[in-house]
Amino acid sequence: MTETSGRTPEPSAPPPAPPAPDPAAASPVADRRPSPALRRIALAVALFLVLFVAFLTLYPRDEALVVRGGEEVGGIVPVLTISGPGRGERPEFARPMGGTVDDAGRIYVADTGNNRVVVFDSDGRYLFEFGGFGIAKPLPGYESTWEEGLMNYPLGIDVDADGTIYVADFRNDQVQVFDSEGTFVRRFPDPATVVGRGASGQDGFGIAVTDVAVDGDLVYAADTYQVVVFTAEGEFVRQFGRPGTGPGEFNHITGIDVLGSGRIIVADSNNHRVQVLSALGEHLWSIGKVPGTSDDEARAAGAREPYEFGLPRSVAVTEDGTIAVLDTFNFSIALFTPDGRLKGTYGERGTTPGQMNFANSIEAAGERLLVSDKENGRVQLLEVVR
Amino acid sequence: MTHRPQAGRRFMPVKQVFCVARDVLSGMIMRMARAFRPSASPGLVRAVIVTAVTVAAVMFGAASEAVAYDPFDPPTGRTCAECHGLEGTEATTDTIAATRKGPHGNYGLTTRKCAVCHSVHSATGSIYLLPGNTIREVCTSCHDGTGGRGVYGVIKARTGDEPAASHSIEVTRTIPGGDPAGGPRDGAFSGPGNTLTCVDCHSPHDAGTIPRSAQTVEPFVGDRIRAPAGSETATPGALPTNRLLRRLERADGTFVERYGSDWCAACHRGWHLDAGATPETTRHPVAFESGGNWYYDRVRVVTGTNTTETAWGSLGGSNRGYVMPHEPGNMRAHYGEQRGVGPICQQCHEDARSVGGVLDGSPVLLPEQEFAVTFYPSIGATEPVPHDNPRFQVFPHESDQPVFRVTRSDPALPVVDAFCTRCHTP
Repeated sequence: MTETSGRTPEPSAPPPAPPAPDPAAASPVADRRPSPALRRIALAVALFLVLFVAFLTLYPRDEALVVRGGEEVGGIVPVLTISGPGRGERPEFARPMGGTVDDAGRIYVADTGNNRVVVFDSDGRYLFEFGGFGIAKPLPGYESTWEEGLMNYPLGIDVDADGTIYVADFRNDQVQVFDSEGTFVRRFPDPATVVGRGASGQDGFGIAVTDVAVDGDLVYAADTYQVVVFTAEGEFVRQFGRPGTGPGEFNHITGIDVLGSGRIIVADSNNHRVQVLSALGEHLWSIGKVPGTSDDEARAAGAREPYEFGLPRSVAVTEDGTIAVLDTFNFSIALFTPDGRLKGTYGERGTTPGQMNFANSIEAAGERLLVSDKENGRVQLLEVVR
Repeated sequence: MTHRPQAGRRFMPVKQVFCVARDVLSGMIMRMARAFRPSASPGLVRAVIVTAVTVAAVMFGAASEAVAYDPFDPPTGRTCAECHGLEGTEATTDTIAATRKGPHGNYGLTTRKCAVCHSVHSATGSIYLLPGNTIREVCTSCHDGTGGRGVYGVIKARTGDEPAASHSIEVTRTIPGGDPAGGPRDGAFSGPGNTLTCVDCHSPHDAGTIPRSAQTVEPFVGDRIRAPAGSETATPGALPTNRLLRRLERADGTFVERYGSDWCAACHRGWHLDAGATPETTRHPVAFESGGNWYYDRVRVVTGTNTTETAWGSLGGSNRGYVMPHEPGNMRAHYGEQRGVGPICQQCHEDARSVGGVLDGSPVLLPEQEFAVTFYPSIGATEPVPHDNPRFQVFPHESDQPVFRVTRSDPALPVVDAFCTRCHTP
């Protein structure tokens, strides 16, 4: 532009007259132009390809994050595989570590890494979510950022018959209660107070709660080395358990469920066993064996089945009383009869629907099982081929 | 330990396939166009080719993961023997690392524990046939406070901020004080881009045989060891593991056998007494076992389970004891024994101890609670008792105090003075 700015414009010459049409010369040019038919075909092909690319690019993600059905693998048939809500700022789960199903079939996912709970209908369609990050137990010198409903590493989750939702808010040392639409109702215990004779909460206050199980008006909260029982309103009832390897002693409880007849069953994970306890905490019997002990020693300690778990992180009881133990390090589900006899083991490691990769929790949904498949970033509703 | 660069996913074959497909596709389309209409416009043909190639690129891109997988040349860049031989060594006994816990031990020729972490044919990560894409990602899958101990990220979880100090896992490769001649140096670590990561300090296999770097150090006298109730005596060799810490290699090629200052100085070589280039007078004296002035059995320790009573004992004394001396001036009280002996690194650079008052809710530890960190609850206890919570134990991963300095956590206290007067009575 600067090169021409100082120049005197040339006198403009009259435009040359258009050349007269030359039929002899025009004919080859006209031949090189595509015929209308060819142009229509080319246009159709191009349009199809553009639409195809657009389809691949804009394929609805919420559908892509839900897989329905699948092939049987390792004795497990996947019914529903959900990897996230497929919308919003966090369309995918981040290491989900808990899940449960209510009587209507609604699926609740503790999306641990995203500090929220996401709810789906029984067909895997996204309904709503609640939560957000909040710190209730700040280090000295820091302010609490917790507000009602905010979470810090939610793990276990359970729903009572009324649809009330209980969430194990692990790093906030509390249980949070929500109504069936996700509205905050209450929390307990106060994470700044001592619970009973003490628990694993930071600074000795509250409970480092890893899982919750609701049985009528009672809520069982799993602590690192004990079980703490509350009413549904959050009143402290009792606590039982202590560190150790003996009956009624625990080493990192990571799962808890109600077995019926006033009994509970606990995944005593680092002791490689599940323990059945009375409502008062009396040891009744167990499955599995503490590392380093023999089968006979395990039986002497109350094991009905000295099964060798890899790491039993969670336990669930199905409609017919079958005990399902999620064996995280064996990437399998072990099923036991209601009286603790082995029925079979199912599952394998992998990423396709039906396979598991460091799954963290299991919950019964009638005869089906809901597994939080942590390192695959999804939950799976499964059927076991028994 | 040498670490080979991690090979990325193998996209080159995909590109080659893509190029061939592009040429074939464009040739086919050109021939078809010419056949259909010999005088077809080159511009039109080019437009069709571009569109078709775009579609082909999308399709090949979507399929690249599957195409890239080559079971005979895994993306780890390591041979099968390197992995299955347990860090370069074949297992020669039925069970090795028999005293270790969880997936880190009790494996051998007849067990299947390797498969807990490694998956030969269906690894979902990109390194060492592991489920995560980085070492940190793999470790924190279990070590999140719910089961595995020694968690990472706790301080941010309780503050929302990055910690005041951390070992910057998979962030940096720079070692402060790493150059024996003074100043920092870069290390060749195992994380992405040669950054420091978990396995540079920890030996997840703890092979117990060779190589030496895969073995773990012993605790020092009075080291704070996590141990179940009833086995809290921490004497060298009495407990099998010290957090699976590797025997790090010194600059002279020897390996550190015991935790303590020597272990830190394996990386922070410029701070070792023998470094020479850094005048000792410019820094606080530090005791090194290799320096011959290793003597630590006169500090205050708690006396047992569920008590805050203390007595003179070995450094730390048990898993209920902190390493740092308690009561200002207690070193002076035993000056005769401690004269000329500096502290070890871990006495001044430990976790922040900001676990709060365990009995009265105060954010500041009471003097008698200085060591009360890992008590267990007891059935029938009438008073609230704190106990072992892995979330408390974050050293040396991170700290809410600068440079992992041991000090009281009350911000109202002058940090430096409180820090100094722990040992130096004015």
